Amino acid sequence: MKVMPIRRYKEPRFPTRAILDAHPELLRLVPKRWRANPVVLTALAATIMIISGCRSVASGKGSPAAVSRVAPIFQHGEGRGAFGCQAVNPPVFLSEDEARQVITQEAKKAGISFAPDINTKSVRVPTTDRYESLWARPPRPAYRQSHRALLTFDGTDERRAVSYEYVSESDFKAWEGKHKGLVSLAYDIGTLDAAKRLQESLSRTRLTGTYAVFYDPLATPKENEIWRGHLSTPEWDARLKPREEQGMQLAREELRKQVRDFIAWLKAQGVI
Amino acid sequence: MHLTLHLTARCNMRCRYCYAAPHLGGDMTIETAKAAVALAVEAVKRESPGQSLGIIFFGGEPLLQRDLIIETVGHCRRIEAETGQLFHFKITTNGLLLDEDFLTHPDTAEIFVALSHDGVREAHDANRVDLAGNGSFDRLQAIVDLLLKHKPYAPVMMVVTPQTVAHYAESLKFLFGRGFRYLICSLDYGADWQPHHLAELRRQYAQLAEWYERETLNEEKFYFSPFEVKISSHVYPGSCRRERCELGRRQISVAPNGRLYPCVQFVGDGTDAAFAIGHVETGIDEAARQRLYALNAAEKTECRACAIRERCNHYCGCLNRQATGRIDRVSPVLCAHERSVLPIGDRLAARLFKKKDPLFIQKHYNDLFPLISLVEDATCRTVAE
Repeated sequence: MKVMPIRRYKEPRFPTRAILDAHPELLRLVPKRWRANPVVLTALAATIMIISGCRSVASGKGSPAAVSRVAPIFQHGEGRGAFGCQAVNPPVFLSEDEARQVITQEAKKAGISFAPDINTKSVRVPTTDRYESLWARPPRPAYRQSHRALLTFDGTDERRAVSYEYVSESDFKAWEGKHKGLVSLAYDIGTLDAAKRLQESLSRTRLTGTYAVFYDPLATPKENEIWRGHLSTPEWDARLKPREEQGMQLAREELRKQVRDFIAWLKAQGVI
Repeated sequence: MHLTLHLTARCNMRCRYCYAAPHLGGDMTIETAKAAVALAVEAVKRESPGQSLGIIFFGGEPLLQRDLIIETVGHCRRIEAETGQLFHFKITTNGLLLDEDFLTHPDTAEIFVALSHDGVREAHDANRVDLAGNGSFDRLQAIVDLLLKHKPYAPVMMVVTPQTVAHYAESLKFLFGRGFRYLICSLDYGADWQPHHLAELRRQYAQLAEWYERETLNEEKFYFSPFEVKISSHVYPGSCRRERCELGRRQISVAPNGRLYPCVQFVGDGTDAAFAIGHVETGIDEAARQRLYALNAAEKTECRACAIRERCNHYCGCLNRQATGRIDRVSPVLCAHERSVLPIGDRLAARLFKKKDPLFIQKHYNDLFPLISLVEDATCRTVAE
């Protein structure tokens, strides 16, 4: 028996609790037994008042501070790379952990303290496709879809209600749809495109707080050696190591620029 | 925060799926219990000031150490009076030593009692046997009546194994019929589950979904853990992650010899140093605690691309260890279980929501449902009296 990840899961056909924002009257549906019990009805009325009050504050009604803001994408780094047999000089990936270090470090300078994985929202994420480039451009609409998923933002400063999501290679793969059609040994990873689509989706969603979407710059090191990754020998691996380190350095720098732009934007918005 | 005191390694039963067997490790002393409480009080002050500290009496069979329970509760109450640190208490027992005195005596009456019971005779006696290998089903009948008479909210803990899976729905309905309303069910993840057992499990869940729907429409209030947790993981996005196993962060288990562990499943006879996070005499080893937490919290490679990972229990390091021997390696049985129960639970919730069933909506969308439910029960009792 093996662990078998599910690639797609249909959105459940019952709502999240956010439905109470639009339909607080749902809580007026009362079991028959309760209707005959005045004490319970009083308790229920009080709870509806409390909940409605709390939610109107949380959702921004009457509170100018609670407005959802989604920053634009700050483009630093190509965020796209070809991999596989024909790729002579593929970019390097900056993992979630490596990116977290850069982002938290840079944000800390502006007094923002990001804690990991505490803000989860049900949002539409882009359905990605690594074989998209095999098709005519612009890509077919079928591959520009999105699907609903629970997104746990990579970092959140609870005090300032600022969250960020870093679109990494692993996110790109996690959001991938089932490819119908030709596949190839060569493929593209497009973190910038995925980040843009996520940013658009977040902008359309009613969220409380301020949000940023960063992306893996997919930095390409200078091509000082002909890439022969498929000839994996200890000698080649040793020669390629400096190349990879150079790429990582570049990627960190590009990501740092994204974060700095975001900080400047936060200041302009009066968030910090 | 919870402090689980393994009062003794001894047990008056020999359940076939027990992860604490072979019951070596002796008894805890009052000095060890007091030192453990002191340690936990300090941890609460440091990490979650103002919160009540939960003391869980565990074993072996904790009722074999009844005097120690009374002494420990008394000790905690004295701390409460002196410092204001609040406490609450719980015991998980096989029930054989439960009696009216324990349930009503002022020293122990406030302890929340959870009973282990696997349902109908065929399922219960298949695994829950005494030292002579005899099933305990018959002996529990009167004890269940007594328990529910004094503690109507007592939860029942049921374990499903490959041998008993065909009785899952029947057992659940049996326990519900006996009067239990908090039904906590779990699989024996360490057992040898085969594809045909899992197919049977899906059939059982489908039956249980029908039962759940029927009883909810009848306005019966109850909690059936596998469905409730999954429904809640959608209604409250991120709840699964927030309430996940935090290995040693929210609970500490203390072996009879005073060694500290991050969860009950690691305690054994208290000699395993690999998963120990300190000792009552030397304190909590924060480095070990953080190391285990980080190892458990890291996203599992094999689950990274899974569409249901935010609603899944794969992060439970204790269950993973039980099944695979490693906390960072996901149990394939757990994976199969989650893939089975989630769509069934979601379809069930969708049906009840579509019908705008009032009890379903109150139960899953009203944060204060437990409180209103208590008010209802209290007023009904007053009328009855």
